[in-house]
Parts: sequence; structure tokens; C-alpha cells
Amino acid sequence: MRPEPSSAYLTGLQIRALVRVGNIYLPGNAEFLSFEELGCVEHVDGVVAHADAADLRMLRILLTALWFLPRSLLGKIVGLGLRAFHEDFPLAATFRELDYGLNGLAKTLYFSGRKGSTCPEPDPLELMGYSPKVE
Amino acid sequence: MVTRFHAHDLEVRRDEVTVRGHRDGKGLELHGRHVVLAAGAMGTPPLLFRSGYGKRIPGLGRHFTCHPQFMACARLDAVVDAHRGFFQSVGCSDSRFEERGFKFETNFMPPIIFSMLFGGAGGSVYDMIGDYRRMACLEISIRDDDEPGAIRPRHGGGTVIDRPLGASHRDKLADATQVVHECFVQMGATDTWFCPRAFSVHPMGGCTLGSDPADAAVDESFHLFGEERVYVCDSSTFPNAPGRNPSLTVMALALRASEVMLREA
Repeated sequence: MRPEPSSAYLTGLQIRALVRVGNIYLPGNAEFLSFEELGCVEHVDGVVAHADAADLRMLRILLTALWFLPRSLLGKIVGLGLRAFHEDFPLAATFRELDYGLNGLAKTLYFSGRKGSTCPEPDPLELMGYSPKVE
Repeated sequence: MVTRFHAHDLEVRRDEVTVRGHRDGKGLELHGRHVVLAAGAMGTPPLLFRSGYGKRIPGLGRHFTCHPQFMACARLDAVVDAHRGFFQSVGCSDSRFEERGFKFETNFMPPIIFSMLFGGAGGSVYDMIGDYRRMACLEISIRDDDEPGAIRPRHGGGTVIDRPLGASHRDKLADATQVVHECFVQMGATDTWFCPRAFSVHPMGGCTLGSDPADAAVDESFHLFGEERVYVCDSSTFPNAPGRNPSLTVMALALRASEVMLREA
């Protein structure tokens, strides 16, 4: 069983909510691990430590609220966040902000080149052949 | 030299300026006869709002501009590895594009940004990143000459940037998008994507140079209005958007500001 990641900024419940949301954005496929399987959430403090204090406070509230929602509703919220960039509807600006917060955090962790301490699989950057070099 | 210092606000006294902030989680105050604010358009106006200048200088936070930017990408048959090599090593100097109010840059995106702008959620993410090495990108940068926006404090902490896209931005974007599409077709692209998310790495204004505190925040000698001990010199002082990358203009302003400061010393 994967150890529960600890954070100086988020509670265990908030981290579990982030993992649920991360799995919706990044569910994995035959080649790539899911957000949860990769274990990249272990490194969440490296990202949120640089967040504005007000943004971090809002993130905590949001993740706590999202924890209590069923997965189907979480999926709808993620979908609305993405839709809000293509069309206008009531609260579209709020959903765009929500997408920047959640999508940004999940993908920053997933494509950071870091993975969980117990994950033996290659990380997404290796699988993509991402190798920035100046030759 | 004090590094890792996060400035929060400042207070001007009769013979000195105190800057309050924190370093490594501990409160710290710095004192000097003068202070030069150079925290950029995202940093300087919020610091001044936190210092209580919002009511004293009505022009603070006004005229925020940013060159709205958009990414476009194309999938090619061949591996192009656009992420390798020197960054921004190819530019486009065709003046006809500039006359039409846009320019292009070859800024390829690292996977985090690429997946966020184009990947969406679920299986579509892997469809895109699986072909990362075959993707070519062009960034569209729009001249920001529409009605300017504003930067202001958010109730409860933080900062709000109010910069809606106007009709002029949208017209230029539509024109630029057509050009990019033609470029990609000429390159033999099998698929093309235009990301609807606007972003910007050229924040400017909010603490602009001018003569009227109702409309600006800094006088022609780079002093914050009414404060002889506080200079501002960064992109927040731009009265409008130059339509090109702002770094060189910031450097030119810094040179000019340093001459003023030496003269006044």
C-alpha cells in the first residue's frame, strides 16, 4: 500500500481530494501511469510553497469542498472548467480560474519529472522523449 | 545584499523609508534614505496598494496592458523535437505582421504548459503528449492597443488583474490565426490546434509615468507622486504597450532613472 503523502500546507483530506481531481485530468493509459499511480503528489509542497497566501487559502477551501463531491460531479466541474475557455456561460470566469488552479497544479506535478518514492515505472517525461538539450 | 526577501509594504518617514517583509518565514524590516521599486507590473502596484497609496494616488493600478498571447500547435509526420536547441532562436521580422498588430515567436512549450494549454482532461491528454516530439508551435502576440485594463487588490488578499479581451484584440487574433494556419499547412501539418486560453508574459502598466495623479502614479523623474524618497523603475511605469517585448525598454528606463537619481543625490 502506498504511504500517505504528508504536506506542510495541505491536510491529508485535501491531498486525497487533489489525487481524485488529478486522476480525472490524468487517468493514465496503457503507456502512461495515472496521476495517483505516479505518486507525484508527494512533491506538492514544492509547488504550493510558492503560491500567494490568498491563493493557497482558497486552494485549501476548494480541495476540502471537492473531497465531499461524488466523482461524477467532480468530472462535470472539470469539464465546465475546460468548456469555459471555449464558450461563455454564467460563472464561466470562475470556472476558468478553477481550471487554472486545479489543472495547473495537477499537470505541474505530473510533468515535473518527479514521481513517488515507491514508483518503479518511468515518469511521463521519459516516455515522451522530453530531453531539452542545447548541442 | 539581502536575498530571498519578500517585500510586503513600505512606509515613508521624514528622513527614511522602511520596507517591511519577510525572509525565510521571519519578519524583517529594511531601512534606507531612498527606495527604488522594481518589482514589475505584477509586483510594484500591489506593494503600493498594500502600503496605502490606493486612495492617495487614484491613478495607481490604471493602464494595465499585457500583449495577449496565444499558442498554436501542429502535428507533423516527422519527429521535429521542437523543444531541443536554443530557445527563441528563430524570429519573424516581417514588418507586414507588425503593421497588422501581431507578431510571432517560436516558443516551444515544456510538457507542463503544453498539456495544460492543449491536453484538456482524460484520454485527450495522452493523444497530444504521445506525439510531443512531432509537434511544432507558434506563439501569437497581439499588440495591446485596446482600452487598457487595471490591477487592484482583491478583497481578502491577493491581486485582481482586470484585462478583458476587446474587439481590437479579437480582430488581430483572427487575422494572425489565419496566417499561422497557412504556415502550418505549408509545413505539411496533419492536425492543427489553436488554444483559446490567452496568457501573457509581458505585464506592463499599473504605475504609469505621467503628470496627473488621477491618471498616473509616477512623475517624469520616476518619483511616486508626492514621495521624493520613492522611485519606481520597471515595466509598471509604461504608459502604454509598446507592441514588442518590453525588456529593452525597461533597461532604457533604468538607465534614464539612474541618471535622474545621480543628479538628485
